[in-house]
Amino acid sequence: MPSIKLQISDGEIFEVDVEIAKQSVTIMIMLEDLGMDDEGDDDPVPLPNVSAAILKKVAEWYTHHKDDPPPPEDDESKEKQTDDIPVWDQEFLKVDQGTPFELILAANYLDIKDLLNVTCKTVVNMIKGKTPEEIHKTFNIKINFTE
Amino acid sequence: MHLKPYWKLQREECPLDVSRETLRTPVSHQKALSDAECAARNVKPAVSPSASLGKASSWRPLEILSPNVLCSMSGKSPVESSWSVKAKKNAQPATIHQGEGEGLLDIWAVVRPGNTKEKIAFFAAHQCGSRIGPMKSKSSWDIDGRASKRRKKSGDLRQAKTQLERMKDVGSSCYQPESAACGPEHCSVHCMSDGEEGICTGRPLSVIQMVALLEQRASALLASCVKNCTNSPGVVRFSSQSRGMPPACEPFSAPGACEEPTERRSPEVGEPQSEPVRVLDMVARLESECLRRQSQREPGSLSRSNSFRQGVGRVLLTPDTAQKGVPEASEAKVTPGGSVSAGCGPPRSEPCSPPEAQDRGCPSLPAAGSPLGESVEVASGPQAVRLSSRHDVEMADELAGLPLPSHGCSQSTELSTDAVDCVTGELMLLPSQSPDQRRKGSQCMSVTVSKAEDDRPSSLSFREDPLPGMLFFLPPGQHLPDCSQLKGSMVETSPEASLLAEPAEADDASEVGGSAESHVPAASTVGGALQVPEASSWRKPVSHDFLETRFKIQQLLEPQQYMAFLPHHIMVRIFRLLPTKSLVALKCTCCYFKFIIEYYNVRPADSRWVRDPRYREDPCKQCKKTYVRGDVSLCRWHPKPYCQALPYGPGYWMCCHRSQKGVPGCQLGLHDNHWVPACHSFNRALHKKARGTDADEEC
Repeated sequence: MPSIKLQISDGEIFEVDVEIAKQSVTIMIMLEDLGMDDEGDDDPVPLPNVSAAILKKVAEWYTHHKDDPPPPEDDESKEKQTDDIPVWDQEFLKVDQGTPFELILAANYLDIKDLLNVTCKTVVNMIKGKTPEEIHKTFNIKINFTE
Repeated sequence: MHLKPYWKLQREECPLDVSRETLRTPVSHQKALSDAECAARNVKPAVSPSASLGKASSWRPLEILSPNVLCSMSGKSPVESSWSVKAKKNAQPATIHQGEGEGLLDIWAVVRPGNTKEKIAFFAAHQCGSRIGPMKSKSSWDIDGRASKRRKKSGDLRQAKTQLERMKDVGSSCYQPESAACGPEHCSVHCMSDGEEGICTGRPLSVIQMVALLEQRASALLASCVKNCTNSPGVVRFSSQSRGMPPACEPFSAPGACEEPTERRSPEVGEPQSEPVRVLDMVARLESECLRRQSQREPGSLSRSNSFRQGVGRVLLTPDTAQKGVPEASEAKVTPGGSVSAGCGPPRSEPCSPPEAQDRGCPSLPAAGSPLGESVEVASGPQAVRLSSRHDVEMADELAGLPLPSHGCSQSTELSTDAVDCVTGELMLLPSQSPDQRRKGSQCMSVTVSKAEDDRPSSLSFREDPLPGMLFFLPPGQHLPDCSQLKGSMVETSPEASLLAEPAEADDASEVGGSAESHVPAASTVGGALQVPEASSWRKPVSHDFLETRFKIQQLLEPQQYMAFLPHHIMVRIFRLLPTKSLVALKCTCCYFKFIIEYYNVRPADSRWVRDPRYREDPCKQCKKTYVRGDVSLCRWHPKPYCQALPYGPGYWMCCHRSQKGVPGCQLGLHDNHWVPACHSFNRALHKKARGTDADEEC
């Protein structure tokens, strides 16, 4: 299976499958733009905004969801629900508070919608049912209302 | 048009003249006055306007003044003195300004209030010896002798001129023998401007003169009192004031009148000049004293004779020199390293300095000289360290006549000057020093140069050092510092830190401290102050690193604000998934979230606010509230469903009527928050199916 090298922020180079890598629209476009499709170039694809741990998580998640159908287009008319997160994802996202947000950023950078939706719903679930004070404590947000 | 001045008469003044005449015994004088009065009366209509008469009526000085009053101002006659007092009260002091080119007129000038430029009453005063009686006339004139604007009649000008000339003649005649025949009872205009006494001629005085004399006498009395007590500058001022014309007289006095006082003042210039001289001397003494005290207190302060550099340089010398005297100080040597150590040896070896000093009866001479000599030696060094202090300077001043050591000690006769030169040279050295050198020198109490400072900055800072400036200020009866002390001090000044670290030197320094124990705290504070910045500089890097590390650790330990660092579109994505309550809570969390919700018009997931403009623009039927951008209110009246009473009828949006308990609004009938009304049962099934589509449409 062809693989592609991904160079992360700290310079470390990860080698992942092209198919997995192409789930990321960003990587795919980059490969297309750089002419590195299936040619097995040794030049790593730079991912300065992704760390090694997050890249591993992304790779792990995508590995699990590589056979999933493509997500539907966002329909704003639909009622948005947040309780339809798969269990595996719920377990996958049972990490520290920073990891979901880093995954959100990574998913946003790599343009992986499913991952982004899951991670956003996870955060929503973290906010749901909380008072403003609890939100402050949970997310370390400073109250700056002067009134 | 009119001559200046010309005389006027005042009817109202006649009785005053009469009263005045009563004081004057000479009949001839009275006759002259009467003649003058008659002439004045004739002249009056031509000159004096009615206003002047009115003013004259209220004019009091004429009632009081008499030409003899001023003469008796010396206190001979109590009546006259009383009159003089009254005159002083009422009469405005004025000086007589004669026209240019005119001779001295022994006349009185009284300024009428309110009409000073126009009318001035003159009282002709006769000479004391040839007094023919007071003559009074009145004329109008101004300062420059120009014609008064109010003069209306010029017919009697000629008469006025003649009278004026007559008065001049009288005045001139009276002026000459003034000095010869004058006595204390006779005063003149000139006497007014003279010195303290102000009485030197026998000419009769005008009101102005009398007033001036009174002032002079008062000033003289004050001056005498002040002189007895202190030579205060006020005396000078007072005498100057009495000497010169009263300032109030200037506006209505002729310039010519000043000439007389100046002329008369010349012989008495010595007196006023002596006063300024005394004042200057006094001021100089006071300044010198102040500088001494200031330098003693604050050696680093700027002063004439003690610049900051000098003060710093003086601090360089350790107290050892102050205690142990010259020999020890002379033993210090100039090190090649740039620091200077007093070379007490050579001066000591020189036979001229100490023995000569002793021969001359000045045992303290060596002590005084060696520092100076050292200073000279020091001057040769690159880093001149001033070993002398104010004390030395004072010693030099006091021992100006005594020989002082120098390089050429054989020149004993020139030692005094050499000492001064040493001092001056010492003083001259100061500017040559660079700030760094001065700074280093200033720290010689503890550390001399940078090296010493770095190595042992704290070793000497806590020594008992005398106060700056008081290093060589020995108490009375104490000899000058020895060379050993100076040596120790100079060792301190050496750039080598090891010398400073030696306890022996520290002991010396401690010994020196005994010479000026009172100055130890200040010196220690000075040294401590010097050390404080060093310590702070050392602490800075340490504390800075520590602070940085601690900050990083705190940052790692603190929960990061992940939400705040998300991009906006992601935050909007998250917020739109929130229900109304959660969104409201988030909106109330911080301003940033509030801004995002309002700016991007984030609606809660369960708000059911539709994008239909009809829905948005139509206010709620219950609360009449319209939708606003970012409205996530928990009002139970929102969201409002669209209610259509009849299928074909008009529809309107309604809010839920239920209480807030539970869900804001409901989904049944009118309480259904769906915008699609579910009140119609036959449409309920369709409604349920269409909920999904309607919801899609709604969004």
